[in-house]
Amino acid sequence: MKFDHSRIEKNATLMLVLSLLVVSIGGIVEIAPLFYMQNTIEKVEGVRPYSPLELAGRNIYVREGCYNCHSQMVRPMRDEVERYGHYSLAAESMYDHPFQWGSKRTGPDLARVGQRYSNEWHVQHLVDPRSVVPESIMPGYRFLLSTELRTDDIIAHLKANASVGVPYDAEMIEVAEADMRDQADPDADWDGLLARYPKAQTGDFDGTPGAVAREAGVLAYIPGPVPVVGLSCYRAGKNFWGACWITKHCRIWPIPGGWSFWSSPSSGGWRWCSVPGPARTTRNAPRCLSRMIGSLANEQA
Amino acid sequence: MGNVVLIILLGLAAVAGLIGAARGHDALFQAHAWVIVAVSLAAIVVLLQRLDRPRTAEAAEGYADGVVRYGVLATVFWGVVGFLVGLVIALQLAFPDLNLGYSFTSFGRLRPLHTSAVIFAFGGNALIATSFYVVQRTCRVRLALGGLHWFVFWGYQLFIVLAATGYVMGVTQSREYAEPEWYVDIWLTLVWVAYLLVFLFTLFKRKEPHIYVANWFYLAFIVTVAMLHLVNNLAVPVSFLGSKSYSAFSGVQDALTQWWYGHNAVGFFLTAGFLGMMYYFVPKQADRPVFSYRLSIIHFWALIFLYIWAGPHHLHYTALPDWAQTLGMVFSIMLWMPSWGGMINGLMTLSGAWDKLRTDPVLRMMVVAVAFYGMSTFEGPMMSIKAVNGLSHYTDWTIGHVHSGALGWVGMISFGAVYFLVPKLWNRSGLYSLRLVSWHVWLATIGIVIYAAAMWVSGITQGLMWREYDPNGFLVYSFAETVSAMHPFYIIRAFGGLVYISGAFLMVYNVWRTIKGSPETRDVAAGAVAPQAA
Repeated sequence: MKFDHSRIEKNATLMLVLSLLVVSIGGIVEIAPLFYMQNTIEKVEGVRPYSPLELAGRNIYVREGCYNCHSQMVRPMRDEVERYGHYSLAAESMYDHPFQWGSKRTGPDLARVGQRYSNEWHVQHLVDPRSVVPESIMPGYRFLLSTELRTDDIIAHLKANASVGVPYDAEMIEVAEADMRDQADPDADWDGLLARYPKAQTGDFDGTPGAVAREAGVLAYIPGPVPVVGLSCYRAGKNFWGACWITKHCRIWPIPGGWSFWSSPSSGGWRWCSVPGPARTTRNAPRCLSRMIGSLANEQA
Repeated sequence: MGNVVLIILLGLAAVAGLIGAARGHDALFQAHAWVIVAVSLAAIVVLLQRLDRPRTAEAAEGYADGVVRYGVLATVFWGVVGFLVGLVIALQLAFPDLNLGYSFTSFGRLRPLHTSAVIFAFGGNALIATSFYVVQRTCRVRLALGGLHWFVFWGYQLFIVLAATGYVMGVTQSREYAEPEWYVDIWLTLVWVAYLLVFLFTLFKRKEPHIYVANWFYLAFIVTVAMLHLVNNLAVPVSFLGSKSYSAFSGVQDALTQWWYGHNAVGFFLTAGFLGMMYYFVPKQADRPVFSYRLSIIHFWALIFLYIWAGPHHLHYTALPDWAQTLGMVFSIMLWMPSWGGMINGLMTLSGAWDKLRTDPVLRMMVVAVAFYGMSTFEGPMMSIKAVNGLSHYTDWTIGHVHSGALGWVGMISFGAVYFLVPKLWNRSGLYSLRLVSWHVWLATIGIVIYAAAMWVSGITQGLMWREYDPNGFLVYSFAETVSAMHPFYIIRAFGGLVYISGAFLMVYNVWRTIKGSPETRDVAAGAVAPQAA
C-alpha cells in the first residue's frame, strides 16, 4: 500500500490528532518515568520540608526573580565542587515547589552558600551589594529591610504545600505561625521548632529586633537544610556516582570524568583537593595528600 | 445585539473584579482585580459608543482583516516595548546602579518582563495576526465562528497586560517563560482554546481541497503550546483569592517539566509558528513556489516529533538522571537535520529569483531571517553536546544563542511579514520607503552580530575562567573577578541591542507613514487595488 500524505492534508481533524500524537511521545517517554523510577531521587538523610520561615524566605527568593541570575545546582565538575561544595543531589530539592535550579550564573551558585557568611554580611550585601563585593552587579534590595514579613497566611501556604505532597503533618501546620515568629526571635524557646525542623537556623537574622523583617526570611532560607546534606557525606548506595568513602581524616567523593575529589580537615577548616583517577581506589590517596601538603607549604612560605 | 450581550458580560467581569479587589488575600491579587475592573469598564465605554453606529461592510463579508490590522499594530508596539526593556536590563548588567533600588525596577523583575514581552507579546501577536491572515488566504474563506477572533485578540492583550503588571509587582511562578500565576494561566487557556477553535473551524470550512503547509505548522504550534501550557502550569493556589500558587511537581520532575515546556516554547512558539510564517510569506514575496513539497512533509513531521525531546539539554550535569540527559542530547543533535531541511526549503524557494535580493529589501529581510534560523539551529545542537554544554551552560553563550534565534530568526521574519502585510491591509500601493527597509535590514543584522559576538566572547571567557587552575591545583579566579571581566562585553552587547532597536524604530516610522499614506498612494489604493475580499 502506498502511503499518500494528501489524505492527511485534506483532513484537518486527522492532521490535528496526528500532530498531537507525535508531539506527545517525547514528553511521555522522558518525564513520566521520573515519577516512578526509584533511583531518580537517591535516599539522603537529613532532607526535611522547609520550616515556615524558610518557606517564606524562599517565596521572596522566587518573587524577586533571584533565579534569573543564580543557580542552585552544583554540577559534578572539579571546579564547581571546589568552588561551591558537593554537587547537588536530586533529593535536596525534592520538597521544592517549584524547583529553583536556575539556568544562568550572572552571580554565583547559591545552593550551599548558607553559613558561609555571617547574617550581618548577608544583610549588608542585600542592602548594598557593592559595599561588600566591589565587582558585584547585583541590584540592591534595601526595600526588603523596611518591609515586614507577613505571617498571618503561612498556614495556608503550608496546607497548599501539603496538598502537592510535602510531608507537613497536622502539628506543623497548626503551629506554623508561631514557628515562624519563634525562628527569628532570639528569646524564643526553639525546642519544638528544632524537633520539627532539625538543624534549622534560629535567631535574629536581620539585626532589627522585634518586628520580623523580610530579610529574616531570606536569610533563614539560605542556610536551610541544603548545606546539611552537602557538608556531610551521603551514602549513595547503588547510585551510579559510586560509593562515598569516609575515614576520620579524609573524605573522598567521586566525580564523573575520572577525577576524585578529596577533602580533609586542616587548621584552617576543610581543605579541598582533587586528583585525576578513579574514585573507588585508594591508590590516589598519597597523591592527594602530598598535593595538600604541598599547597599548605606554599601558603606558609 | 451581540454588543449588548458583550456589555452585560463585561459588566459581570467588572463586578467580579470588584469582588476580587475587595476580598483578595494579598495586595498583588487586589491590584490585578483592579486591572480587570478598569479594562472591563473601558471596554464597556467603547462598546456603548459603538452601539448606534452601523456595522462596517468588512464586519459582515470578505476576509476578516480588521483583527489582522490590529494584530500587526500590536506586534509593532509590543516589539518596541520588549526591545526597550531588553536594552534597559542589558544596561543594568553593565551599570548596576540603573536598578535604581526599587523593587519594580530591579533586574530580577524586569528580565521576565523582557522575555515575555518579546516572546509572547511581540512574537505571539505576530503569530496570531499572520495565522489569521494566512489561513484565510490559503483556505479562501473568512475566519470561522463569527467575531470570536476579536475575543482571541483582546483576550490575548489582556493576558499580556496581566502578565506584565504582575512581573513588575512580583507575581511570578519563577518558571522561565511561564512566569504568570495560576489565574492568568487559566485566562490564557481560555483565549488559547478560542484561538484553536477559530483556526480549526476555518480549516474545516476551507474551499481549497488541501491544507496549505503553512497551516500545518500553525496548527501544530497552537495545539502543542496548549499541551505544554496546561501541563507545565499545573499548580495549587494558596487561596482562590490570592496570587500565589505552588507547582504540582517538585525538584527534578518539576525541572524537567519546566524545560520540556521551556525548550518547546522555543520549538513550537518561536519555531513551528514562525516556520508557518516562512512557508507563506517567503514564497509570496519571492513570487516562487515552495522549493520542495516532499521536503516540507519531512520537515514538518520530523521537526515536531524531535523537538519535544530536546528539553533535557537544559539540565546537563544536573541531578536529572543521566539517561534523560543523554536522550535530550541525542534528540537535540538529530534536530539539526529537520531544522536545516526547513532552512533549505525556505532559502531554495528563491531559486530563479535570487536577483530579487538586490532590489527587494523585504525579501532580503526574510532571507537573512532564514539564514539566522540556520545559524542558530546549528549552534543549538552543538551546545546540547554535553562536553560543550559543560562550558557553555550558566554563561552568556546561552544568551547569545537565544538572541541570534530571537532577534535574527523570529524578529526578522516578523519584520518581513509586517512589511509584506501593511500595504496590503491598508490598501496602499506599497511601503512608504524601501530605503528605510533596507536600512532596517542592515541595522538589525549588524546589531545581532555585535550582540551575539559579545556574548560568545563573554560566555566562553567566563566559562574558561571558572574552571582555570594554577599549577598548584588551585582555582585561579574568584567568582567576583569573572563578573568584572564581563563588563566590557555587557557594554558591547547593550550597544548591539541599541543598533537593533534603532532599526525597529525605522520600521515604526515606515509603518506609520505607510498607513497614513501620501495622497499619491491613497489614489492608487482607491483606484487600482481591489479590496482584499477578492
